[in-house]
Amino acid sequence: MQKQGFKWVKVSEMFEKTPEADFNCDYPGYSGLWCRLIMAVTSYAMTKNSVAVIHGPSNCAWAIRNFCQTDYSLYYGNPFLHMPVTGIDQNDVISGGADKLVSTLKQVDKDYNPEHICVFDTCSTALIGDDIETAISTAQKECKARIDYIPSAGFTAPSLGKSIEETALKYADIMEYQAETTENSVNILGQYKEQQDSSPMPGKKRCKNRRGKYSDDASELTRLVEGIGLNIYRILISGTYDYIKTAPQAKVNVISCPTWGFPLAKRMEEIFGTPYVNQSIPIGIEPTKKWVMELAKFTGREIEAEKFIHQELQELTPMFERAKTYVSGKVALIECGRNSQTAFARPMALARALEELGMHVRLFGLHPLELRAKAMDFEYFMKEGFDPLILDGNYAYQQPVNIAHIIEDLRLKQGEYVYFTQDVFPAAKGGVFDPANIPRVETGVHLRRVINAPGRGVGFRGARALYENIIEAVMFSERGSKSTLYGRVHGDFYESFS
Amino acid sequence: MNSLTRQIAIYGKGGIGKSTISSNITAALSCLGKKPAQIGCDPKADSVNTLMGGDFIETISEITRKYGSSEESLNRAICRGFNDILCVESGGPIPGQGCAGRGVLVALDLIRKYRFFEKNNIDIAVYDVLGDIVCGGFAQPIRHSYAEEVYIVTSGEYMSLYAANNIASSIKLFAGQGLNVRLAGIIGNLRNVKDEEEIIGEFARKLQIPVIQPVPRSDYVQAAELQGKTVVEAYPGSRQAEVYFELAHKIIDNRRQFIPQPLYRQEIIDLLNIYPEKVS
Ligand SMILES: Nc1ncnc2c1ncn2[C@@H]1O[C@H](COP(=O)(O)OP(=O)(O)O)[C@@H](O)[C@H]1O
Ligand code: SF4
Ligand SMILES: [Mg+2]
Repeated sequence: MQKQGFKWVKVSEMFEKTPEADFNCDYPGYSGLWCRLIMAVTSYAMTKNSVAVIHGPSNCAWAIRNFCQTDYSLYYGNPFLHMPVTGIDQNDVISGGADKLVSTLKQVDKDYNPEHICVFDTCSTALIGDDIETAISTAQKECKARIDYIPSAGFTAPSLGKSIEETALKYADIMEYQAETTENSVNILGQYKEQQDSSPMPGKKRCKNRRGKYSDDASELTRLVEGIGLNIYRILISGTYDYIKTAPQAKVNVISCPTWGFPLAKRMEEIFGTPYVNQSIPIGIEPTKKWVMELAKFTGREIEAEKFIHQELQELTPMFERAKTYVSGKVALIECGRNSQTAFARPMALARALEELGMHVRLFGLHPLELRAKAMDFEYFMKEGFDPLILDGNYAYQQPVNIAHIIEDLRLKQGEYVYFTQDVFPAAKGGVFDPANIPRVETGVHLRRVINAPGRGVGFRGARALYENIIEAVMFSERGSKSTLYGRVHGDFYESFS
Repeated sequence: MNSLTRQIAIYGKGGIGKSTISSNITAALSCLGKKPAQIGCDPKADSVNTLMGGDFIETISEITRKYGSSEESLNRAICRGFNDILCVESGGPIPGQGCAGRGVLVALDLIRKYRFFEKNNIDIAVYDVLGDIVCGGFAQPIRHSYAEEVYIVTSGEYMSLYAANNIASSIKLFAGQGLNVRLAGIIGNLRNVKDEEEIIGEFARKLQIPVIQPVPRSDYVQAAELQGKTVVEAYPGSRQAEVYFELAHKIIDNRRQFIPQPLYRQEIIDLLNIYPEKVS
């Protein structure tokens, strides 16, 4: 790895040395991994009674439709979000596509009768400079639904981080000023699902009345908030236009994912004066305690919070101690993104939780430009004084880093490390037939958001799930009698290779 | 491209007289027994106006917008003007919208794809192109081996020379990229500024290209225009018509082609300062 120019450095070092990504940036080998349109529309797909109008050629829309309706839909909001497209063609490029947008908006308002319409533009319409705002105000005169616009041309944000940040901000523009706030009400920002999506499933005893073995992030954060006697007002981004619009009625915002949450919280504070609690992504014991306590301090509920935390820790500590005996002193190899080298906040939060278990953490698989693009997340962790080692280098475009190379590079021997993987798709079946016998804990985003799938997420329950998974992974890798893929299929002869 | 059709492009700043010159050339060529076609590549879409009796014809952009891009659309766009000259306008968007350059590109693609020149036995095609080369679209006629022979129309005024010089730069660039496009020379369209012919002459000398012909300013042009005609059609016996015939002959006979040496902006200004205008 060193021969290829990879280096272990502090996160802060990698951040400082990387130039800021804009669309003139030509970082070697990096042309952006995600079209901004995908980020923008899929975030909007978490809303209800809404229609996304894509202003561009039909293929841009197909990219998103695929994205929302194939495996990804398992975690991204509403898989059946209507996404009509203006269907810009060459003639519209020549003459301008604004007229088509106006007529499409009117048609959509009539045919779908939604509460809210959001226009998303694409490379072609942005390059010819279609005047979308004017088209919207022309159409708005004749439409019942409120129409907003989220700029989303693929070329305008080469990094995922920047497109998330800019898209998140737009939701504050959709909100309306509320003269009064509701006592004890809290919004969770940077959280995908509405809590009812993980509502209990009566009668299923094995799942302890929950849909999955582990609770998902939204319901765990809700439990934390309610645990100290407060109420959840809105979980964003989700819900109908009305649900989003009235979010400023909450007393305070708390943050789940900093990448989505902080930009929106800051903007809401600027526009509506809604304060926010400066903690995020509470994975692990201390971060969860802090997250709860800060919220408690803000709302004057310290006593309730202390009591709540005390109870929770009584339950959790035995599992924590047990997990510690398995991994303390070992190296945690934390993948930031298997194919898309874009995840930062979640792996960092995981690393923080693993340090609590006495592990030495190493992050890898994050493209430097994506780190740079997540300045707000970066600032948050730096303020918290958390600056672990990360593998800096020019990552191969959408190629996972081979874990065997990392192990070799760090000269680790079997039993000295645990591998925390990221980005595994819901249908992925890898991991079991691992020739190198590496204990691996799946932490992919998908697992935390899919109903009925185990989550290794936030809060005390998330920590518990994480500890259980670690123990399982280490125990499994230590088991002597594992079969290989060929061994299972063709018989014992093939076992002799391993 | 069809080797039987000679394709020439007339470039120059907006309003300098490209369409007037193009139409009079094609009109003259048709009188000399040639079968010319004229393709307007300017969103103004008034190139063939004086060949069409003053009518503005439907443009390729308008037609493809309505009917899609097919051979039928192209045929709809082809009009027969004075002396059966085939006339086409590429057209373009309403100013302030869309991408006019793309319009030129689409029109030329249609013409090539459906073998417009071949099917109509055109022997000289004249592209009348907006020459302020604002984007790649307006360079289309001289890219991809459409027109390989370019004439630049200019007066002796700074803006016009400036645009002419830009066109020269593009041609040098394309030639350097291996394209066959070359400059044939400059056609002066005189605006009666002081020492105009000297200025144009000096400018051409610096670019290392010839002046093909100075075209004097003449009231016949407007008078013909008002009737929806070219000077060649309306006043065939006039001195001005003679000039256009002369120009047509020179173009027919021309075999010389050049890669120009464009000037720096300051050089154009210096050149104008040799012939200072009198300030009254
Ligand atoms: N030699 C000339 N004498 C007088 N007027 C001219 C002459 N050439 C062009 N014009 C006038 O200049 C105007 C612009 O010419 P036009 O050919 O339309 O320019 P372009 O095609 O370059 O935009 C026309 O109204 C035309 O009558
Ligand atoms: S053309 Fe642009 S907006 Fe459309 S899918 Fe591609 S990158 Fe995204
Ligand atoms: Mg013209």
